[in-house]
Formats: sequence, C-alpha cells, structure tokens
Amino acid sequence: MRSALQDDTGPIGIFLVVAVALVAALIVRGNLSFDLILFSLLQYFATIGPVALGLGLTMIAREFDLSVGSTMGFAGCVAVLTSGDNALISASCGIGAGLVVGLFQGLAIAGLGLSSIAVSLGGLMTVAGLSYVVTHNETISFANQAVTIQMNAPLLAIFSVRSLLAIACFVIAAVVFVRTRIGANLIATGSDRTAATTSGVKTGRVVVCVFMLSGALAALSGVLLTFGLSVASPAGLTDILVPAISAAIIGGVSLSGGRGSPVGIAFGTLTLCALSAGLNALGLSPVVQQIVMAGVLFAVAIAAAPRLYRFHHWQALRVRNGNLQKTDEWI
Amino acid sequence: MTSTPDAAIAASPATPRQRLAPADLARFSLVLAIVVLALSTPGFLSRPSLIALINAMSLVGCVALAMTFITLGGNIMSFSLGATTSVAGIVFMATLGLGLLPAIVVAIVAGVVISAAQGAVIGWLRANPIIVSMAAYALLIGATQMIVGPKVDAPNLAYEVLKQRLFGVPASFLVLAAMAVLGQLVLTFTRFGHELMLVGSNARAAEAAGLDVGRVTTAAYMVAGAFSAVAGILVASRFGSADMQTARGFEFTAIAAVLVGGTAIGGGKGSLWQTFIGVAVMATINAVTLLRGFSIEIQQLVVGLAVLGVIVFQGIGRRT
Repeated sequence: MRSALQDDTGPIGIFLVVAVALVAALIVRGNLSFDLILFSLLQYFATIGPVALGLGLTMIAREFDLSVGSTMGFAGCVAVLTSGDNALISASCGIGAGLVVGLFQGLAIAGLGLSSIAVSLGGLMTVAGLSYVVTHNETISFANQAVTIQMNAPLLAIFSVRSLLAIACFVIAAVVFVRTRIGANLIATGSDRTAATTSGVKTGRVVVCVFMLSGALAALSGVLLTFGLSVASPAGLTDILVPAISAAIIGGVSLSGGRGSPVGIAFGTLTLCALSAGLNALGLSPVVQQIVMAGVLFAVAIAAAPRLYRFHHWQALRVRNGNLQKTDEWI
Repeated sequence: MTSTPDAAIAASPATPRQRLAPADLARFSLVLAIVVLALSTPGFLSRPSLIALINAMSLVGCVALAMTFITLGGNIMSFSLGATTSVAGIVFMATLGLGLLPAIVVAIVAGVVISAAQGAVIGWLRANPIIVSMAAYALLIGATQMIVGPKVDAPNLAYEVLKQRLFGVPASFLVLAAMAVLGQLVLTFTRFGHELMLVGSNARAAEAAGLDVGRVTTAAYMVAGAFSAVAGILVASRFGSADMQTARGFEFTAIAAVLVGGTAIGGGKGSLWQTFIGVAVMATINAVTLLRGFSIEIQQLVVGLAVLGVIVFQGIGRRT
C-alpha cells in the first residue's frame, strides 16, 4: 500500500516554489493586504478546484470529461431557475442536473464502450444547447441577495462559504481515496482495464461513478459561482477547461491514466491560484493573465507529452513498441 | 526501417461493407427528415433564402473541411480552428494595403504557421490534441486582444471582389466548392492522403510500417490551417472588417458537420464530400429554424444532439 502523500511530493514542491514567488512578489510590491490576497486566491480556488477535481478523477480512470465547462454553466442556470426561498433546494437541483449529465455520459461510455472524449464532446455541445434553451439565451439573475452576501462574506479572515465547501470536497475525496478501496479501484481502472476487470474490479461501474462525480463537482462549482455572482449565463463553453486541465496535470495526474490523487490535484489548483494572485498583485491586465494561463496549459501539454523524454532514443523506442502491450500514449 | 510506406498502403486491408450500419441509417434518416422539413417550409426554395443558405454554408464550410483533415488523421477535433479563422481574417485586413493577392498569401501563411506548430507538437511528441488546441485557442484570443485590439477595418475595398457573384452564385461558395474538390483530390490521389488515412486508422501500426506519423500529422494540421485561413479571408470580406467574435464557435459547427457527414470520430474513415453534405445539413437546420420562427437557442441544442447522436450510433455500429 502506498503512503498517503508519496505521489504528491511533486505537486507540493511546485506549489511551494510558486508560493514563495508569490510572497516575494507581494513583498516587492509592498503595502498589500495578505488577508485580502489569500481571500481572493481561495475564491478562485473555489471556482476551479471542484472542476479540476472531477476532471482529474476521470483522467485517473484514463477517461476525459470535456463536458465540465458547460455542465458548470448549466447547473448555475438550473439553480437560478429553480430558486425560491430556500437556496438549498435550488442548489440541489443544480447539482442534480450535473449528476444526471454525468450519469448519461458515463452510461454511454461504459455501456457502449465509446471514447469518452467523443461522448463528452457531444455532451459539451448538448448541455450548452440546453443552457441556451432554458435561459432563452439571456443572462439570468439570482434574486436571493441574502445568499449572495452570505456566499461572499469572509469567514476566519481568508475563507468564505464557497471556498470552505470546495476545500471540504477535496478533504472528503482525499480521505475516501486513501482509506477505501475506491481509490485503488480507480487507479486500477486507469492503469490497465483488462487486468482490473480480471481481478474483480467492476470497471464499468467505476467509470459511470467517476463521470457522475465529475458532473456533480462541476455543477457544485457552477452553483456556488452563480450564487456568489448572483447571475448565471448560458455562455462559456470551454473557458473553465483551460485552468482545470492545467491544475489536474500540474497536480500529477497523468493523461495516460492510473496516476494522480485528490491531494495532488488540490496542490495543482493552488499552484494556478497562486500564479494568478501573483499576476494580479503585479498589476498585470486580465489579457496578460489569460495569455499566461494559456501558456501554462501549452507548456503542460508539452511536458505531459509521452514522447518528449524519449525523443532522443527514438530507435530503441521503435523496437520496444513492436511488442509493447501498453505505452503511455493516451488514445 | 523495415518496410516502405507504399508496402504498408498495399497491405492495408480494404474494409468491405456488408450491411447498413446503424450510424449510416441514423444519418440517412436525419438527412431525409431535414430535406422533408426544408421542402415543406414555405419560402425555403425562394431565391433570397437559398442565397442566404449558400452564404452560411461557405463560411463555416471551409472550417469544416479543415476539421475533416484533423478528424481523419485521428486527432478528433481542434478547438483552435475558429480562432485561427479570426486571426487569419485580421491578418488579411491588416495587410490588405499591400494589395489583394499579397494579403491573401500572408493570411494563409499565418494560418498554416499557427496550425503547423500545434501539429508538430501533436505529431512528433504525441501531445494530447484536445489540450494543445485548447491552449492555442486561449493563446490566440489573448494575444490578438493584446496586439490588435477589438477590431480591424478594411483599409480599402480590394476585398469586394470576394463578395461578387458569378452567374448568381456567391464567390465564397465557389471557393468552398473548389476547396472541397481540391482537398478530396489530395485525399484520394496523393501519397499524403493515403498516409493520413493510415495514420488515422491506426497510428501505431502506421509507425511500425515505417510511416513518419509526425510529418503526416503536421502536414494535416498545415492543410487545416490553410483552409481555416481561407474561411477567415471570406469572413473578413463579407463584413468588411475582422474581429475575434464573428468566427467564434465555428469549430463546434464544423465538428458537427464532419460527424453528421459520416466521418468517423476515431479517424481513418470519411471524406471531404461527406463533410460538404454535413455542412449543407447544418446550414439547412439553421435556415429552417429561422424560417419556421424557432428561437436560435433550439438550433444550438439540435446541433449538440446531432453530434451526440452520431457519436453514440457510430459506437453501436462499431460493436455489432
């Protein structure tokens, strides 16, 4: 059995480096409130954290959930449309919508043996269409101001309801991942599906569950964001995917499956949030931040490319590939 | 290096089709339903409506042709083709002062370079095509916003030649048709076309047979970049200005057209003329929803459901 943090030293190390850089940037700039910066860092964490966690878990199972971007928006719209006096009910409706989206996609992928990228591409476009239909292509506003204020109110100086809920998701996921068989089953499903099935793991069920979880987590993030901003918009197909994918891969999740953990994804997300906070503190415009984030994803994509490190012993690879059962290539 | 690419092509088995696959059946019924719906819609066959249909087809159609090369090569889709289209349009407008032909050449070179860089990373390093294209999308949007600003207007009216009609047919549609024919000729008759199909159906086998997967993939992305750039030139000419908004989301309509046309999402099977039909179907859905007074939102949902349906039916067809 692995120790709980063994796989996560890389992501934690990267986070520490970025965090030190952030602190250095803050000291150089001077007269900035640490509390305020940590608060906004954690607010950003609350937005991308759950999405990155869900997406990362599907990647550990050697699948990929492209639909999280539109699921997030759709859940926010559903939560606003079902809003009444009780915010818990509308939040449940939003998260329920995410669960249903994940369930259907998981069933199509596991039941029919389809590629998860293909199915979730269809899911991404269909759910986006649904959001446009339910909102009649308009930005809709959430009337319950009390909830919005509650969502954004600082707790213990740097936290808020939103960020505490996101952190709770990670803590629960990390404990379940390490303490129960679920984590081992997930890793087994992602490492070698045939072997996992042979040794008794119900891989189909694992895939359906991980997609439901991914849908629910994206929905949770969408609902909380909508409550916090007090508006929901049907637009925004892939914007969340750029930071979420980066966070998962920086967090040590492998695109070829079987590697990664919730703790790693948490630190991957924190790394991105610290980077963003640092750019903010340096007074760079949102456009520059977007370019940096895109650059990070590009670098991450290249760093995660299976052939990068073997490019120089090309010939040896070719001989090995001839009778290799599994490579770390992702398709 | 044990065998030559030609030997690999000769050895690749032909795929005989015994019966109609569920995906084909579903697609044919979809096309039939749309034709019936279109013909029963009053005003659909009127001249302005048909011109509008053809215009709508030609802009997103070039991007769909571009996407076909990426899908056929086994790389599913590129999220950056819409942004590439926009950037090429902006480059076209910015260089139009040099004259029409130089501006067209520079815009196409820009599209090819943007796309080739992604293709090289995807082909040689086996980086994930979804993630690379998504990063490129965000990078292009951000960089253009920083360098160019919101919008570039035409410095002169040289582009108007691309808005003309020849025997009543818009020039942009003729460009689309010419590109579809040209592209299909390349796919059917050149070595690159055959190699692309092999790489798309099984990259590892193609590599074992001695094909340079990196080179083929990069070439496919270069072609896709060129086709997207042509789309960008047409879009910019249509509106007399270029921005990052007009072509936004073209990649989604494009992949929908590719899949509805019958090209396999996994690569290696399909053609440009099928994509051409797919584009016509998408444009017809567009026109019918407008003429029948349905809201524009329904259209988004229909496009999404069409993609999802085709993917699911393709999977069922593969299993049986």
